[in-house]
Amino acid sequence: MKFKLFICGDNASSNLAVLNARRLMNGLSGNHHELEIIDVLESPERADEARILATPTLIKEEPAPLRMLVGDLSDLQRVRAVLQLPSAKRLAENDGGLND
Amino acid sequence: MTRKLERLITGIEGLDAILEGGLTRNRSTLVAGTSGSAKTVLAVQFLAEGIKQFGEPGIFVTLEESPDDLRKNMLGFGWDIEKWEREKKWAFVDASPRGREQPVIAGEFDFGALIARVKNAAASVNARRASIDTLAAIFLQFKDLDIVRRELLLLAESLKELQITSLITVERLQEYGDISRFGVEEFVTDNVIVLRNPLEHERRRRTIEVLKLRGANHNKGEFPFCVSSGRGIAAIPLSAIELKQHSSDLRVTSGNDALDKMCNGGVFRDSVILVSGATGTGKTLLSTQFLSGGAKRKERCLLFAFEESREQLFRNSSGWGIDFEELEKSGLLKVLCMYPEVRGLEDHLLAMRVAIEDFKPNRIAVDSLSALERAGHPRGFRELIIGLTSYIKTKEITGLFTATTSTLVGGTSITESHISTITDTIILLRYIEFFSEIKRGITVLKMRGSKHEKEIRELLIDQHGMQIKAPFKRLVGVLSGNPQVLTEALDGD
Repeated sequence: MKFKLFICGDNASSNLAVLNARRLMNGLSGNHHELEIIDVLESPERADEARILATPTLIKEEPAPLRMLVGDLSDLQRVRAVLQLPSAKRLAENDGGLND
Repeated sequence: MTRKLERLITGIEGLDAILEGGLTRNRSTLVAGTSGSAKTVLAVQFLAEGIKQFGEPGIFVTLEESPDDLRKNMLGFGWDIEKWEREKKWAFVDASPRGREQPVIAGEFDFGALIARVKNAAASVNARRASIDTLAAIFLQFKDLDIVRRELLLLAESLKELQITSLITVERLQEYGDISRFGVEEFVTDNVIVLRNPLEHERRRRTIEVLKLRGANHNKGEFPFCVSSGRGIAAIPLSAIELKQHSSDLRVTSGNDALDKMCNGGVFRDSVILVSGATGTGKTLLSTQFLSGGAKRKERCLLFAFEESREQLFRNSSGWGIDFEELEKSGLLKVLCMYPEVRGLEDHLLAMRVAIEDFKPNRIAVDSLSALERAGHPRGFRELIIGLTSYIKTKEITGLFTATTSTLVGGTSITESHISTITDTIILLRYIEFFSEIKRGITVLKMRGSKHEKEIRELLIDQHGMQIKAPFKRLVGVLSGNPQVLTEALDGD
């Protein structure tokens, strides 16, 4: 799977989103996964390309269809439902969950 | 001590007069309106006029339509956005959600990306203006009203820091009532403008109202505006218009040599003449001569006729030896007959302005204003006269308006008392009972900035038109409607 995470500098929700996204990646089976973290303060033109407004925004680019999540990704259930990932229980067994 | 806020002239016709000098600089203004109320046109025009008139670049944040659609749709107004983009005068921030699903909200967020993009785009063109169209899209995507409001405040703050004056459009669900759809938008900005497009008497009537301009004066109430291709929005500030037009010393003919003499050599070119008289005293004849006199000197003449049909007018004029048909063919005259009652006064004013712009006349006649007066209430009528007067003066057009008095002898018309202060010259036509005979009299009551004859002269109407004869001698009380001949003086003659 291929993800892009847009963050805005060093603020709380961006930091939390990075943490949550990394955990999410770790919980995925297989190892062909990619997470690119883009700071809109450094690269606003990347935000232009993706036409995004809000930060943090997580975009799942591959496999299609494209999915967009806005927020610090602490709403675990929603994140998994949108990305169609395995259930919370299985993830919890593997990793201890996305949320502390 | 209060410091006056610096203003930014929008350049949108009529709007700056309503704002009493433009928007307050570096502040955000909310533009609220129902769907179809021309919000996007206003948002685009705000940037377009900045570029065209003041060399002020702008950024357009589109949250709904795609930049491509906007580029295409706005060409009809004569705004070539693509060209401005190439010239680094215009930059889009494209946040239109086209072709993709709404994002799912999963936790805390901010509009950091939007603000970073706005700053980046603003820097790329050195923007002085911004338009954001429309917030409704943001509220629909990001449903948390508190967060959205907080973030919009930050956005407004960022624009202020960048020294950018901005318009932000929002949607309203009805013409009157809550300012904005989500009830929080108006708290984000310093200023609020409302665009309306209500159905009144089976007719759409667009109006613009400045509801709030924090820390600055503005004209209150709704003002009509029109949207036209090739020009965009033009508001009619009516009562906000200041009569400060320069006036020229250049004189032109009234169409009658004797009347020119009474006026000390003709009427001033950019002046407005009011001709008042009872029915049949020669008002229509005077305006007919005024037009043919202009056409003879190759001036372009436009007649707005509210009382008589084309056939009647053409027949009348040929009876006085003036061939309207020939004049129209030559292209120097245009006769527009309109029924006063078919539309509201604002629409009449708009139609007249459009006709004036199309035909570009040197002189216009309105016969009669009194007929037009019936189509609306007194305030609207006065506003129409002010609007029309100031408009034709800025265009350096000579205007002649007729007004009908209600009584046959003496008296003043309601029209006259409403507008006499606005007009430069007043000519009275009166019936005068003179030794058991009804005669017509003419006098110049007032002529701003010029000497004029004070006598009342006899007026004859025949197949050659109007003949102005010798002054009535020893006659008093004509204006009051009770003319009396001073017989004693006559005896002593």
